[in-house]
Amino acid sequence: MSYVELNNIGKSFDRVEVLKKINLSIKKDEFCVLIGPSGCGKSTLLRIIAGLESPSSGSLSLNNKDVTELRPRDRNIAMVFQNYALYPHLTVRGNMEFGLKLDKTPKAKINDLVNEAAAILKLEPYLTRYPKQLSGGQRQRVAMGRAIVRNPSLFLFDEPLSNLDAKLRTKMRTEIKSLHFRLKSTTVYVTHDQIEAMTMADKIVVMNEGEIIQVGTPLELFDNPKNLFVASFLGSPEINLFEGTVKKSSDGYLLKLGGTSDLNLPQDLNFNEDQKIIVGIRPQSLKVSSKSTKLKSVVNIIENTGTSTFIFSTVGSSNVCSEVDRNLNFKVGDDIFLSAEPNKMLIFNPETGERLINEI
Amino acid sequence: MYSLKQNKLLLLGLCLPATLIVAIFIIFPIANGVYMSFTDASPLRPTSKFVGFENYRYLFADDVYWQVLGNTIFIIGFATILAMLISVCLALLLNNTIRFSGLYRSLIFQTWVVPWIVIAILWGWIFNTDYGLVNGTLAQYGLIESQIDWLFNGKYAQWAIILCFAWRSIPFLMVIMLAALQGVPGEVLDAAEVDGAKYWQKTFKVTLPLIQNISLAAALMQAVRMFQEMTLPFVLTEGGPMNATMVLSMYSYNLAFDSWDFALAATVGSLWLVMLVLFGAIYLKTVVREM
Repeated sequence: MSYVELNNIGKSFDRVEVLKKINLSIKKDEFCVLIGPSGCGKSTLLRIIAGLESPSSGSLSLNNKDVTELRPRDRNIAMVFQNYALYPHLTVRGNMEFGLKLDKTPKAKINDLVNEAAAILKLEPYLTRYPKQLSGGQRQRVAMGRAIVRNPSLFLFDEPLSNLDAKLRTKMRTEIKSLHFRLKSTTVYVTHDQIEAMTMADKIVVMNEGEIIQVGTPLELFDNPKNLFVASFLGSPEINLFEGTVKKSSDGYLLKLGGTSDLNLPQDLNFNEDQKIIVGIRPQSLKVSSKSTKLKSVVNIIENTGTSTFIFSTVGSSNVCSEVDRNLNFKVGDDIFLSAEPNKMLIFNPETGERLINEI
Repeated sequence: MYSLKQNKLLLLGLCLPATLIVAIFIIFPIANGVYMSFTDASPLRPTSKFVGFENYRYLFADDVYWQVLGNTIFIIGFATILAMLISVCLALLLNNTIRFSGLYRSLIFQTWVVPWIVIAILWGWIFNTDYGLVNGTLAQYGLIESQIDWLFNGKYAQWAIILCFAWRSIPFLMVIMLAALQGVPGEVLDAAEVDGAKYWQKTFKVTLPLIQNISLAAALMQAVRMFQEMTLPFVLTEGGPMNATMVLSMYSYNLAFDSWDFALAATVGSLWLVMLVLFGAIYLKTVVREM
């Protein structure tokens, strides 16, 4: 059953239309991530769910109750902000108590709730400190503590990890996810970091230019992106795109990439001769070997991250990336040959950017 | 790396202008004033001599001095509090996106560019017993039966001066507080709203505590500024009636240029200096909090 229901939500600031008829439903206990590039409207959408902005059109319901006109305090939500938004003049305890005191919760209960949240978030030693005496990660935990003490029916996160360093971000990611498992709370999480989206979400909503482009589980979106935008947005390093013309040969259909390079296309699909297409192949599916194929390239850069090794090379005018076994011994300047399993190829219309064959 | 410390002469040359200006225009007058307070200096005497703490003993035994000190603290204290309250309200109002807020802001700030003497004359007319706006308005609505001598009645005159001082201070304090309000992060206010705070709760529990330090520092600056200002009582009431509106600045001026007692005037100034330094230090230590 859907818990958060957005119906035709639109938002304009003066003449700029930031959100265009957004329809979305989020199930109870679901962890939903809104992702998209800067300015795509994801934060505005979150603020509308919070009640900090009112939509120009459409309606919003929480738990089957229309809350479009309700103020944030009447929606029973909690929000964690990008810059933590802690009250600098209050201690950690003061920050966590703030909402409860406003609700006139009995003092003993406030203490219990704050102590419980502090224990969950390992904040006990810092309760008497002020925000400026805490590190970024600790501040972020206080912001989460302030959210969980209120036992809200909906958690909203607005890019909460973007101010943390890479290592801490990974750690906090796991903490937020385990907190979600523990509290079983419906969550809407905004980020522009696709790794966060892929690792945390039950459901990802990809947005661009004020519209929802695609909704699905992380793997659904990764494996079956609806268009070039989704395919390029998810996955790191980015998906490799080969643009060319379809030619029929004795071995079936080939993608002519210009020069001498060709790519074998899936044989079970029907193409038109001279059709222009873009083939997307994820770095993980683009195999590299020294054994001759039709797609020849030269190693430009080798990146070794310890866990994986990426080879960047040039095909025609575009740079491509492949993830390889770290034991393969390639050097910069080596000739390499690329290939991919036909079922790992995503085929797009170069004009519209839409997937040509949705399921391969 | 080249360090200025290696070239002592250049270092000295660069520091000299600023040091000289501070020495000539700030340190020397203060030191000279303090020195004069230990003499019997007066333009009526050809020479002056050292008299030790005689001037201080005289002042401490003088009832007028204590009355003037009390007046000064009362008038400036209340003027600052009144100005602060009104400025906070105006700043909160103008910080919201009300229509024409920019226009109101600049109109209110106009008061700041008007010279004190003009303000004094303006308020002199407003409080004029026979033709003043205050008496006229009150009489029109039947609130008073006979004209009130606002500036010549000890009880009212102090409050009239307080009002004028406060009125002149509002623009400065308002601009500072408006700047402080604009520095309050929007996210923190959003967080308070999500936490369930109504407008007044947001204002009193978040906004005002966040601008507290800046506002209180501005209030201190304005109070010190008002300590130095004698135009209003000088023009409006001449310190009267019966010294009711005599403030330290005017008292010391009168001692120097009416009674020609430079030494006693310097003593008042020296005591005033010590008092303000102590007050400022204690105020900043206790009121301004760490955040």
